[in-house]
Parts: sequence; C-alpha cells; structure tokens
Amino acid sequence: MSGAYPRGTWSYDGSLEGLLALSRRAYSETTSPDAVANALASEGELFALLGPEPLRSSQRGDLDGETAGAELRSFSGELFDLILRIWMSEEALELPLFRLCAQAGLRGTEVLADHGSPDLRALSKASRRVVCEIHKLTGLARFSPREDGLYCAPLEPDANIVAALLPHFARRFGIEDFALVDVGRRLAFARLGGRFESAAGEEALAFLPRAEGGEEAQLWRRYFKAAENPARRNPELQRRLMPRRYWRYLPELTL
Amino acid sequence: MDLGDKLELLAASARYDASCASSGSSRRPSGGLGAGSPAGVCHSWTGDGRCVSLLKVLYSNSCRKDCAYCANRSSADVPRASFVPEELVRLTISFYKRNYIEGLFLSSGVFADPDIVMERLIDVARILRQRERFGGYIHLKAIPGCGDALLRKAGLYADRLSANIELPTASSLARLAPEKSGAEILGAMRFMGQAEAESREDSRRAQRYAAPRFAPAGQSTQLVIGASPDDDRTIIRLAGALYGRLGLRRVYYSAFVPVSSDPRLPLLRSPPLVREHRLYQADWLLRFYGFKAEEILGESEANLPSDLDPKSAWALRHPEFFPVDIATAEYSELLRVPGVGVTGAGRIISTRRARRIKPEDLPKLGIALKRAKWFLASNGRPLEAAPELDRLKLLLSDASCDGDSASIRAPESAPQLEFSFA
Ligand code: SF4
Repeated sequence: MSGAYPRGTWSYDGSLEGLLALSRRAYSETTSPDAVANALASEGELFALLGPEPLRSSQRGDLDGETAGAELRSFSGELFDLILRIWMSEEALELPLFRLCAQAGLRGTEVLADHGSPDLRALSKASRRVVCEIHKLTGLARFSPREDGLYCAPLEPDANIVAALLPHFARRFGIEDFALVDVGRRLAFARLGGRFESAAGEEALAFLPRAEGGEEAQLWRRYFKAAENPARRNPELQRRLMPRRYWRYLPELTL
Repeated sequence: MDLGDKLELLAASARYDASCASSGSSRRPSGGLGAGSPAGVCHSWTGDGRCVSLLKVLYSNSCRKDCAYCANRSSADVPRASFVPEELVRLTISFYKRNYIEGLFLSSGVFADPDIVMERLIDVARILRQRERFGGYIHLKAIPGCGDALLRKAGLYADRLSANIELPTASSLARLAPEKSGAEILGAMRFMGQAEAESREDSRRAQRYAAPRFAPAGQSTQLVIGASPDDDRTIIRLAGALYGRLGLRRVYYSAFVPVSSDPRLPLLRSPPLVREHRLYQADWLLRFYGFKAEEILGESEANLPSDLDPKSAWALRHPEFFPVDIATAEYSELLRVPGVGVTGAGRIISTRRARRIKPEDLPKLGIALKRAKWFLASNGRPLEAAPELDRLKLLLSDASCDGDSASIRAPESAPQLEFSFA
C-alpha cells in the first residue's frame, strides 16, 4: 500500500476500516502479504460499525472500509465478526488474518471450520478473549447517575471493546440515556437525547460522574455481603471468576 | 427496621436457594427500562464463588412451617421481617439501572395462607411490569398450595417460576418437612409445565408474538443433597423424570449445611460439596450429552464415585463401546468419550468436513487427549492401548488430572447450597 515499506509489506493506519479494506484485498486477490505495518490506531471507528446508527461512508486513501466490510459480511458474517474482534483485540494478528482471508477467497467458508489450522487457532483465541471481555463487562460495568441524571459507567477493558457494549446497554436502558467511558483509552460512547455520540480525550473523561454510588451503592454492598454463604467461602474461586483487575469500579468490592 | 437492615436479613435468608440464573427468557422488550439477555449475565461473584445475577430475596422470612433443614423454620430463633412491594420495586429498579443485577428473584416463607403469600409476590411483579414497564428478568417462587389461577397470573409476569422439591422421596419429606406435601409441590410443577407448553404452542401457532408467554424461561427446582439418606441413583432418576416428563429447564442441587441441631438431621462436618459437584456433572450428562438417567450409574451402584467424573465412570463400565473413530464417529458417540466435550465434538465434526483429522490435531480442537487417547481411534487403530482397568481408573481420576474433571465443564461455578423455601 505504501512505497516506504519493503516489497510484500502491506501497511495501514491501524483503523478498523483499514483492516477491513486489507482483509477484503486478501480475500478478493487470494493473496496475503509477507509483513504488515500498522501505524497508529485511530479511535472511535467501531462505533460506526457496531452502533445502532447506519455505517458511515469513510475513506482512508484508497481504502474504503464500508464497502469492504459490506462485501466481507455478505461473504460470511462469521469472517466479518472475526475481523472486528481481531481489531478490538489490539493484538498484532494481521498476518494470520490476511492469510485466512486469502484462503477463504480460494476455498470458501470451509476454512472457518478448519480448527486445526494454526492461523485460525490464533485468531479464534484472540476472538474468544474479546468475546469474553465483552461478556464480562456487560455484567461488571457499574453505572452511577451524574448530577444531571445521566447514568455513566467507567471501564478499563483489556481490549478496545467499549463500543461493542453499546447495543447491549441501548436495549437495557430502553429509552433512557447513558454513557460508557473507557478511562484508559480515553474514549466515550453515549446516547444523549436518543442520539448516539462518541468523544475522545478530556471530552470523554468529562462524562464521568463526580461522586460514585450514594445510598443505593451502600444498599448494594450490604446485599452483596449478605448473599454470600459463609459455609461455602471460596475467595480463590471468586478471584478466578472475577479477577482483581475488574474490581476497581465495583462498589461491592471497594471500601 | 430500615430498608438496609431488611435487605440484609432477607437476602441472607434467601441465600440457600441455589438458583440465580437469568438466562433462557425470550421476553420481548417492554419499551421501558430493561431487556432480557438470553444467555444470562453474571454481575458479580460473592466470596463463595457464586454468580450474582439477580436480586435474590425473600418477601418475608416468617414461616408457619417447620422444615427441619431450613433457617427460616417457625421454631428458629431468628429476627423476622417482611418487605412491602414498593421497597422491592425501588431496589430492583435502582439496582438494575446501576447494572448490579439482571432482575429480581423473589421467594418467601409461608407467612399466611399460600394464596395470600403468592398474591404478595405477584403484586411486586405486577407493579414492576405494568407501572414501571420493567423488561428485566423476574423469577418468582411458586407457593405450593396456592390456586392455579394465581400460578397462571404469576407466569404472565415472571420469566421463570420454581417450586422446590427439596427432598427426593416422600418418606424423607414426611420425616424432615412433614407439613409439606409432595403431591402439592408436584401438582404445582405439573400445572406450570402444562401452562408453559400450551403457551409455547399458542405462540408457535400464532407465528408471531400474540399474547404474553407464560414463564418463557420455564421452571426450575432444587434438591437438597445430604440432609436425607436418599442416594444419588434416586436423585438422578428423579432429575431425569423432571426433565423428561415435566419439561423442567433446570434442577439445582444444594449441598446441605446444618442450620439446626435437630436430631433428624445428619451430623456433617462440612457440606457434601464433592457429591453436589458430581451430581451437577451427571445433570449435564442428562441435559447436554444424551445420557439417560438409568445409564449414569451401574446396576449395583447407589452413588456416584467421588474420585471420578460420571462420564469416565460410564466409559469404564462400557469398554465394548470404544474406541470410537475420529473420522467416522457420530456426534453422539464422540460425546461419550472422556475428554471430549460438546465444543470439541462439534469441532471434530465441522473440521472433518474441511479435511481429514490427524491425531495430532485433536488438542487444537480442544480435546483433552490425556483422557481421550484410550477411547479414540484413527484409521481403525486406537490412539493408545488402554492399560488394565484399575490403572486406567486411576489415570482418569481427578487426582491424576490436576483436579480437572475433563470433558465436563464445572456446570455451576459454585452452586449455592443448602435447601430452600416453600
Ligand atoms: S423450607 Fe419453606 S416452608 Fe419450609 S420452613 Fe423454610 S421457608 Fe418455610
């Protein structure tokens, strides 16, 4: 894609759209690169793809992520989802991904069932980690109301998954507004007045509520303590199922 | 007593009910706050390793009955309290908005006539569904002895209903919970099973959502393990019949922890957690592995072995079934192999469509070869010749497998204990 890299190197800007465009290239040309150069990842891309609003048309040089995404999705929803998750995982798995896409172009969707393939195994492992993180945080996100009544949850996920939580919480909150803030990546995704918006940097952190919890959090702590059965205490199992890295924003495990 | 005190007391009184699932409901969004999540969501894990998905409380811990194994029995010297519906509505909504819970699991001691108790539980669910337009998960305890019309009403608001059998035989029930009627409990379960089936059939015929589904997440029950002398064979056969004949979605097993010094109860140093775990494994064989209840224990065995998972025990009793060939075996045959789970069996089948599977591929497909190698074949040849029976048994036991019970995933991260209510 760029003359600055050795022959056989494909480069992109780290964006989801870029990854989709190169995946489509691998798929349609049934070829894959020798190396991949990933420039700085951009923010907020996933929002457009996963949010309830329609996909935006967006170009990155000669790459058209929207068209690429639509084509790949029509070939296989499973492959499309895998690409999204690999992007969210932030792992350097572009090479096996492009090899898999090239194979898919050659042999069809059967390559997605070949669980013995080392490429598919590596990709599936990363994909499972992402799915697991999304699933964990659907339960472990903790919302507090701000002074203006907006419910907001701070998160520090292991992968770039916060936008992927949006559809779940949109269903859960019904018509009410809410916001999710990835504190580490300084990204926010919110539904305000029924419209979905995203923010980055200081603007994202400004969503966070000043005080946390209040009386309801106190009641929750008391509930949580009472619900435990002392005759079966097993803190090791508790930590295994809910590693400490999640505890920071859980009122029941702080204070 | 303020709300926090009540919450603490009535949550502690409810912690003996093992169920906390919020999965399996197909309730349509209400348009208000809350939506079901078919796979269920864990919102935390308590210090006993149990998933917290629902606000699980008793409406009241006052009870007219005196079941020997129950912390809330009428003779127990414990503080008593009851919620009023608005308190439960407030807690459910505010906890839900903060994403602490998926919904409410409401049970109760039998503080009055069963109809009155059931009406109170229904009141809470009705306010949540109708006034608050709450679309989250609601699990209501069915109070045996209440009228069918109330059960029907409860099923229209609740995602799941449950009536706990607690003790697996009429004689144990008569000894430890003489005021309970097994016929009443089974009658309620039969009614709920029928109402659920009819409602499912109605919506299938309508081809679209016509009327509110009756308890779309079905019904569950719980059995106390170790409070009575009943053996595993009795428990597993009962569970098999509950799944097969009454269409239950879940049977929970709860290791008994003595809560009183009643001489009718066994003296246990600690809850029988290993036995409970084995029963959950056997339960998985019934629900996901195509086993029949009669197959799980051998003719001469009354209880599951404590050192061996029930699938391995079955495999050792049936050498004639093995080895099964990875190139040709049916999904149902693969599921019988120790070390092969539902995912692994599915992967063998799907990978086989793409290419020939070699033995060295198996670990990549999620097969625990250290257990499966004696039971699988490739090209008609066993992957490894099985050692003599005692040695094989030792190799398959938990002690040789780093405590990993192989192909059957721990079904309950830490199933809750004891018994339950009503
Ligand atoms: S098990 Fe139920 S009926 Fe029996 S004492 Fe406890 S709360 Fe009352």
